[in-house]
Amino acid sequence: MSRPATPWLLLAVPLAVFGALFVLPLANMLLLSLQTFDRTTGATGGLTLNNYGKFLGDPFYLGILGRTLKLAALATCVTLVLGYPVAFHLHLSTGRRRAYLTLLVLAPLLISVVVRSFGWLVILGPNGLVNSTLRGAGVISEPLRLLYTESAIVLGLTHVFLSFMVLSIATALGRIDPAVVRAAQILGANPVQTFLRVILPLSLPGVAAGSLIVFTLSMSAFITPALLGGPRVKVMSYLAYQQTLLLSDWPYGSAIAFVLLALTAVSVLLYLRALERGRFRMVFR
Amino acid sequence: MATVELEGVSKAYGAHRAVHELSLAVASGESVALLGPSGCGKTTTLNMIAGFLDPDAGHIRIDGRPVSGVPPYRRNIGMVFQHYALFPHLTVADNLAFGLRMRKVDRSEIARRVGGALDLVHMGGLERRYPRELSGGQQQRVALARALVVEPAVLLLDEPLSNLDAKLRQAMREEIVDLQQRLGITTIFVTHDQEEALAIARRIAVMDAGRVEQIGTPEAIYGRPRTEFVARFIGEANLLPGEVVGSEPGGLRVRIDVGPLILAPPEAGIKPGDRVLVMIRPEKVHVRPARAGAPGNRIEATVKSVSFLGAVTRCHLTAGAQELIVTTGDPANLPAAGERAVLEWGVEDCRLLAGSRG
Repeated sequence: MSRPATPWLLLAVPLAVFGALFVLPLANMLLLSLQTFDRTTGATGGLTLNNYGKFLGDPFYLGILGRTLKLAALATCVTLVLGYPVAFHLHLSTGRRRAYLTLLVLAPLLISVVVRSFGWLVILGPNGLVNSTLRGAGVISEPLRLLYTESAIVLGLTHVFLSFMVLSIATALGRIDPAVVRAAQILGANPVQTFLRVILPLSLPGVAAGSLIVFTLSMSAFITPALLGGPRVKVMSYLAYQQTLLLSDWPYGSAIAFVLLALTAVSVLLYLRALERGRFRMVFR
Repeated sequence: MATVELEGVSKAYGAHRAVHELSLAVASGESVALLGPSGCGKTTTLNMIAGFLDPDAGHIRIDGRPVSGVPPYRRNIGMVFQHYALFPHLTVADNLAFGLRMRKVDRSEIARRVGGALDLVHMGGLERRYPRELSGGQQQRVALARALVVEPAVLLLDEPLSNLDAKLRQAMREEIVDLQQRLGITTIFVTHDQEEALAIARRIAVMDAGRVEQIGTPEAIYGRPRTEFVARFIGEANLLPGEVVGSEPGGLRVRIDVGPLILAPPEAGIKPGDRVLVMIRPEKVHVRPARAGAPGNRIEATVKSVSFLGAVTRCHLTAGAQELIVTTGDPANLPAAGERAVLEWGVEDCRLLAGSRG
């Protein structure tokens, strides 16, 4: 066996699986998105960009696109703000305590998304925990509408994806050479200055990785926005689902999915580019 | 410049005593090496002086003032770390400017001092490079400049040369000595490399198991080690176990276990009847062919091997179970392997150490 062939042989099976189960269906969907839908005959021949034109020309659809982007960005920011202190605490703890904290951080991932979202329904519903408590305390007389709002979606997404953010940042913090932190201290930096000038910049790769994971997962999340936003507060994934499965318009549903994919990819690329050209670009090499 | 004093300083990690009742006084402008094997507590000591660790007991004073409770960032100490610990996200210039910015030095002054410090370590022109774009030796220089640019009261060096190759180590060693003397800065450095300690420091504190075994000039430590540990750790030593059998005007008469009676200079605390180790440095021993004979300190041995090492030739010998090493600059008259030889040394060239094995 010649050396250069070995890696390819090892990769053959995963590549075949990846090709058959991911690339082929995606190519098929791309083709589908370029076809025309007819109520009687289904998807038919003749490649056209009409589906994309329909989407990009309609403020209704563009609004949903904007909302998806906004909610994903919000979920990313909230997980970052909540996750960084948790990650820092996790990083500073050791031994048994660290193991338990890690388990606690991972806990949301141990429960099915559906169950977790139903949990939020119970908490946020008109007669849920929040409303009944507030009413019992006499703070409000009418139940607040907490469910089927953008905030509910952000809350649900944050709950699920916080783990990814915390673990990414904790990993990056763990990679910082403790001597570098000591060097900052001995050079006269107090704890706040040490954090802002050394620890924070050096943890940016973790912040970047965490944000990318949370953002892409939030962009394409389906169950959480579907259950906590419902048909009232639609996002792109829900729209694609509606078109494909409820209205059987597979070509348009495919086009929506590809717009989402393109937007996610472009956002990620712009983000990475900004980081790699930013002030702390050296950290990412 | 400042003095550094440690008085009865102890530090334990659980049951392990890392540093035990250590006392050390470093004069202003002096350079002292903490020398010892890994785990002897030398780095723990350095970290306590820097303020990264608090002693469990004892006092540390810098310039006469106790520093307990003073955080590292208020101690005005410069430190060079073993792996340099440069800030990877900052350029060379920003690495150097870091400490000055923390001290709120104004911009033009920062630029002037950073330039000066880089010139001091021959790194001018590399201001805009990032640490990972530098070689090991260059990183070492930047680390040194970064520690010195803030004009610290004390300079601490933690195994500063251990990550450089042999040739570069030699060059940097000379450079550090030169800088230390030119700036006259009080310097404490930690090393496990005896050669480094002998070359850089004006005084050496040899440490073992959390205690200082001996403090003295390099010459004193090498020539007059006080314990077996120091004798073995610094340079090579022939250690011959024996027993003091009598006292004479010329010194103490010692019966060496493998045979002969020898004469050694008196040593405080050692009296007839004591078990001792006779220490002789390999270069102080003279090898003669077996037939030559003169009275004095001598022992017969068999040559095991002779290796020519350039400037010196090393000779391994055995006398019974006793292994002996001799080095000489003149290999001409050495007996060959397998031959018998006589080893001789002067009374003043050996030392008596308290015997460790009874």
